[in-house]
Amino acid sequence: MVGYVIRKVLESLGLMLGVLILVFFLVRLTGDPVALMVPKDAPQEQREVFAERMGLNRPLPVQFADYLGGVLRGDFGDSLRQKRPAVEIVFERLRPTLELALGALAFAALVAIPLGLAAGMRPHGTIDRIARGVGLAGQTVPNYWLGMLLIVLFAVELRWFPVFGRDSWRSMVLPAVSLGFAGMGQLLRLTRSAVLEVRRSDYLRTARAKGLPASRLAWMHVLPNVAIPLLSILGIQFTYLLGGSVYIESVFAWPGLGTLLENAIRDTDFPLVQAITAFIAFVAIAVHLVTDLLYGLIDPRMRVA
Amino acid sequence: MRTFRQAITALLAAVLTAGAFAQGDVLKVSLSSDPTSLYMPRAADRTAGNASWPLYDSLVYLDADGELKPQLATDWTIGSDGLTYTFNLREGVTFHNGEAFTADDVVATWEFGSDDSNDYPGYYTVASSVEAVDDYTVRITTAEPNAIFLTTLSKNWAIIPGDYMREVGIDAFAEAPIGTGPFKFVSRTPGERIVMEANEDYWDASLPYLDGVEFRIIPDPSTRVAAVQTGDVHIANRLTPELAESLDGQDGVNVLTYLNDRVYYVAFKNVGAGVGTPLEDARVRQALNLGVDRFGINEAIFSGFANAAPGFVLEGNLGFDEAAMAPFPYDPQRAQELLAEAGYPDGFDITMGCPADGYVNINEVCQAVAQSLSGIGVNVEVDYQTTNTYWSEPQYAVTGPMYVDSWSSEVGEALPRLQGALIPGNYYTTWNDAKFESIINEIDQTVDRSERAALYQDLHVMMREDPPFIYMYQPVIFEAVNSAVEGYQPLPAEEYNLRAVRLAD
Repeated sequence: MVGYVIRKVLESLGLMLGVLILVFFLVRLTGDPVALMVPKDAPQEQREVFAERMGLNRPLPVQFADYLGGVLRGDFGDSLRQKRPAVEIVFERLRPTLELALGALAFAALVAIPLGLAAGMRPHGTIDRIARGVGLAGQTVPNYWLGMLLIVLFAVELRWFPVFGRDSWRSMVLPAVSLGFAGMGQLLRLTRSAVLEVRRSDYLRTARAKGLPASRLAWMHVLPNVAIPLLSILGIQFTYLLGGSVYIESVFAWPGLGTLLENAIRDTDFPLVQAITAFIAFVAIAVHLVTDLLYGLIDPRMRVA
Repeated sequence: MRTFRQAITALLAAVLTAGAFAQGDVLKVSLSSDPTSLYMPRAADRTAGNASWPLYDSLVYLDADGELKPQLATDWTIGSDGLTYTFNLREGVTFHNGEAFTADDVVATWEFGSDDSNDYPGYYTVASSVEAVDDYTVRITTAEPNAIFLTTLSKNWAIIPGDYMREVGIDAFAEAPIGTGPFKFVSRTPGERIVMEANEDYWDASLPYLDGVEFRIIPDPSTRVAAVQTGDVHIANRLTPELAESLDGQDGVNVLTYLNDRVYYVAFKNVGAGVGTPLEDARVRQALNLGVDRFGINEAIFSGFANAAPGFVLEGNLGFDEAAMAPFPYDPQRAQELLAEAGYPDGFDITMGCPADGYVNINEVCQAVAQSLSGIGVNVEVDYQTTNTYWSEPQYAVTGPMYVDSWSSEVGEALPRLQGALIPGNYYTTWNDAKFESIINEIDQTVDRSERAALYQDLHVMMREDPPFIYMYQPVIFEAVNSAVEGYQPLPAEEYNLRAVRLAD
């Protein structure tokens, strides 16, 4: 088990390093901060002064070494635009994004699990047909478009929810639904197929033979048996939601990491883009690591794989 | 029991006054991105400048007609050498923290603005010295005569309290900015909102009319439109023509349109890739101006929401004369005659750079220019480049003998774009011509406005006869404004101007 843990941790560290390298060089392909930040009529020497001060005129390997050294100390440098530590800015915007991701996850789970359970218990019934339709919609409707649609319908026409912002729990509803919709579709289909699997098992046949009512059967015997794979899916979805909220945050003007990242990329604010992506990658990799370790704990076969 | 009742009364009073404040006239304005800073020397883009200015005053301001008017200075004189500006300052003005405004604060504004850690200290270092003659007299000296110095000052020098700034430093100041402006900083939630309240002690007792201003950050233009429709914000800018049209006929929302002070053009090179090409002949450059159907392009690509540009001096700029400054007509026959005269009866092949996705619809514009010019026998190969490579090196080193670009101005005249694109040695200059250089330098040093206007007109004629650019178009800007908003007059470079705004009941 110790060997397994060490191996998995090393894998994760390698992956993290890969992300850091990739982002560092990719972000430098997106634009030149000097051209963007210095006024257009600035003379050449102003550009050089700016590049010099920001350390942007040093050779790339030197910049990269400097960057990696900083990362090891938890220092991602100062935002080029805001002139304060990038990490500080990331932490300011973390909470809204976590809230939205949790809200989206809650929406996905609360719709998908009961519906998937009901659908799986009676395949080809009415509920199942509806559930398959909803599941398909979830996996095909683009969330950006869905967000706009929800705004027009529920915010502009019906005025049930605010158009944008983060003022109260009502502000959360439309963005959480838009963001969680795709995950809901996936979760619904997985729940349904997991239930179908369990339905064929012997213990369920026994339970049914005892004369238990269908609802009790579903909650007491089916749900606990499909819960473990569903939980791991939820964990993975959470990391997707963190990284995938850029569009939705932008549509709903949600003040989280997504809108921050969009701004930072547009401003070619290298240190800030690096800090945000590294943070999201770190969370995703950590979640996967924990999942892997838990699997190893539960299922000894995984340790040798 | 008595204390209980007192507590209830106090609570009720608190709730009622809180309610009264919430119902007061708070103008809600959308911003398309989170301002980089509320300290002007670090408020790098227009959005940040828009969010910052309500907090500050400058010494002078530029009104809607392009005239300089007194603000924190009551009057000023310019020395006969055109280098020294002496301002008499308004007395009895206080900053939001109670500090009294004196000449020392102008000195501090200049000193801190010139700090190397700011994005572009050039707006401040253009003054070589700033000295307090006495408490209410300040003398500013520039190293060279500078025609637009007062305009530069009015657009950038937001006066800050020197004592406070020296105590806390720039970083802390930017977190809790203080000025003498009509609104006071209350709070800022990153990525979400900036809240300001009325400055009750504003030196101009009639202002402000509003109880407060709240900026809401809304990156997506469709969401900004929806927010105006529901009344969640009063003013939304940076809309696409399609979105603006969708608001047509909506109750309670007015769509404001005005011309942006920005010219799109195709630049020619007589350096680098331009050497030895047909472009060296003025007749060829005239022919290319006559051979581009800019009217058709504006109609097809911008649904008519763009004006054909007459030159670099645009409508609203100092020296603009509508009668004398018409855009080049579309005249392919005359263009072909000129090409034949120049020795190119069958046209020629040429490469034109295009900043892919660098501006709204620019790829389509580049394509349309190429198509238009093929009509007079000029085969244009469009070289699409990412904006990264396009703008990261001095322009003469990038792409072919022609390239597409644009230039805005917020000073009410064409000088910055003329200098930037025509003074040899500058980053974006690809056309070196001593006659343009000398007249632009003359404009730069002519402090008298009417003399300067005449020089702009002379230069316009020269730039028509010997054009260094194909003048293309000037885009129309759209803003959606709630009909309760009164007294709102944005300035031509997408500048919010919220000072005298009020909300009708």
